[in-house]
Amino acid sequence: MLDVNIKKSYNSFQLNIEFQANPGITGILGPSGCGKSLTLQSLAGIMKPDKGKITMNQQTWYDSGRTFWKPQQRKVGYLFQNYALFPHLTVEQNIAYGLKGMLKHEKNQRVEKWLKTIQLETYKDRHPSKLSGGQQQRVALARSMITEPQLLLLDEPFSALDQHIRHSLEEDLRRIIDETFHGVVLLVTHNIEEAFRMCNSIMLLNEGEVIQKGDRRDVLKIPASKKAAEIVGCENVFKVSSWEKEGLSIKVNTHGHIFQLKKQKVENLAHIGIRSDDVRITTWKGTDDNCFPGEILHITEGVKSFKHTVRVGSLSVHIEEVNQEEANLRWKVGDRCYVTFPQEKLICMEK
Amino acid sequence: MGEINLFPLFLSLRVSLTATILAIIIGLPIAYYLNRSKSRLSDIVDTIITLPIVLPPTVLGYYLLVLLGRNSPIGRFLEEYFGMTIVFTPTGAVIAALVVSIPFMIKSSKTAFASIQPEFIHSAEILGRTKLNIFFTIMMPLAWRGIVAGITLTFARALGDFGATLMIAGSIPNETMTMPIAIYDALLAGDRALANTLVLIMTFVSLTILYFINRLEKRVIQG
Repeated sequence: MLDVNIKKSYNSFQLNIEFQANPGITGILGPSGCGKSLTLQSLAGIMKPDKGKITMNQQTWYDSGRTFWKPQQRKVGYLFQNYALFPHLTVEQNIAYGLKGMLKHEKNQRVEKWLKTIQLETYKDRHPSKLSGGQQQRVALARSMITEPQLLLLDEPFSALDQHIRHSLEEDLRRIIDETFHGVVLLVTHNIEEAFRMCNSIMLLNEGEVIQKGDRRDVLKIPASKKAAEIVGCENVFKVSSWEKEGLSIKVNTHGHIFQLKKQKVENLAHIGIRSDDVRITTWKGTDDNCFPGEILHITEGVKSFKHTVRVGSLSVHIEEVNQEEANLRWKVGDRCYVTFPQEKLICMEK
Repeated sequence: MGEINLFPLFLSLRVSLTATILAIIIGLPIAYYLNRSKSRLSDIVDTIITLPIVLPPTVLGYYLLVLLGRNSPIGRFLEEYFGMTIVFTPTGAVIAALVVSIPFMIKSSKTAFASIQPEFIHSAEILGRTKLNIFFTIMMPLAWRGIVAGITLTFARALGDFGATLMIAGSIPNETMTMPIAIYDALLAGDRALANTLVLIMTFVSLTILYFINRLEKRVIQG
């Protein structure tokens, strides 16, 4: 288990990170400049925090001024965003780079085994520049994994790749990790879909702090704050003016709109939110709760869906409709409509 | 025109080659240090190292004379304990050539080291290699072009030095008279034929050497 609690000032940026991670893939999600890379660098020992503690499986890697293990001592696997394969070495030499203090034939055996795992046996004498992005990624992974690390850090592993091959490479990466590694994996990304597919648990980072962590479904589907909602792509967040528990439901007032929510355990309610594809838009007034009249302000046509911006009183609501043809037929800018916020889809946010 | 005395040519080659090798041995670690360090001291060192490029060689020669002459503390120390004199000896010529040429070695290698992506160094550290090991297995190969460019410039500058060498090593025929000085000497003596011959030899030899150093650069594995 990895236990991290570190602080670091970097120019005007403050990193103040605290989390535990268990074996399995933990996603670190956040906007650029939120401290994702700085966190990974601190864990690898490339960067020294100002204070705090890092423990990995009972080993203390860092403890304020007292202990600081160098990157060489930590046994970390680090997959850089650009893979950082040594351009002057062949695939085979790259993979073998981290092996030391063993006999030549044992070394070769291990390298062979890894070449096989990443299915690049026939490429072993090539230089990295002659490989595709996906192949480079696998070589970089093998180069890290061959040293049998305790902790694996993946820094935006797919950002350097073309969109159309990302999906299959995700599966490849997941497969190789599942087959060969049983420790803690941290995956930095800013792609929500990728995080959802790759990770077991997820933590959200904002301005150098962990703002939410937990099971991937909980975090991505139920953001706990306005910032978290922004990071996980929940587009509609409304500020709560007042709220009260009433029988089996919660009555929430946002700018004069009264929403009914299912009763749930909340201490404080600062915002309510809903995903743009959970909002329904109709020409008639529905009988469900939370149905308000609105006016279409703006329509954006996407490849797979239509995005509408609808004015509901003083609220501006984003609605995404996947059913293209119907949406196309139905709405024009300026149309009057009814907008329904299904009770079970509304998310309560404490911050 | 009788036999041409080729001693100046061989002395020049010997001096500039020795100076270049010393420049590599001394210059690379300095370049490495300057690239890594962000302290004010390294800025000062960097500035001082650039000075020989800017100062006239005669000024440098003068400084060396003051610093290493037989009456200077260093000069006396060397003479007393090692029986070594610098002034008016080939050793002096080597030191003069080294001082005027080493800035080129340091500047080019420093730039080459700086252009290495930090991820390469970090990867190597994370993979468990020591700093020294990384220097030889990653930094040197990746900075190779810049280093070779530095070697070329260093050698060229060392071979061509006139002023600093003349100041400290003098122009004793068959002892410290290097090629550039011999050419000047021939010209002063009114021996145009000898001067022409020496100039042509010098040009031809320089071209040949530079060609081979350039070939060295091409041997870099394409990254």
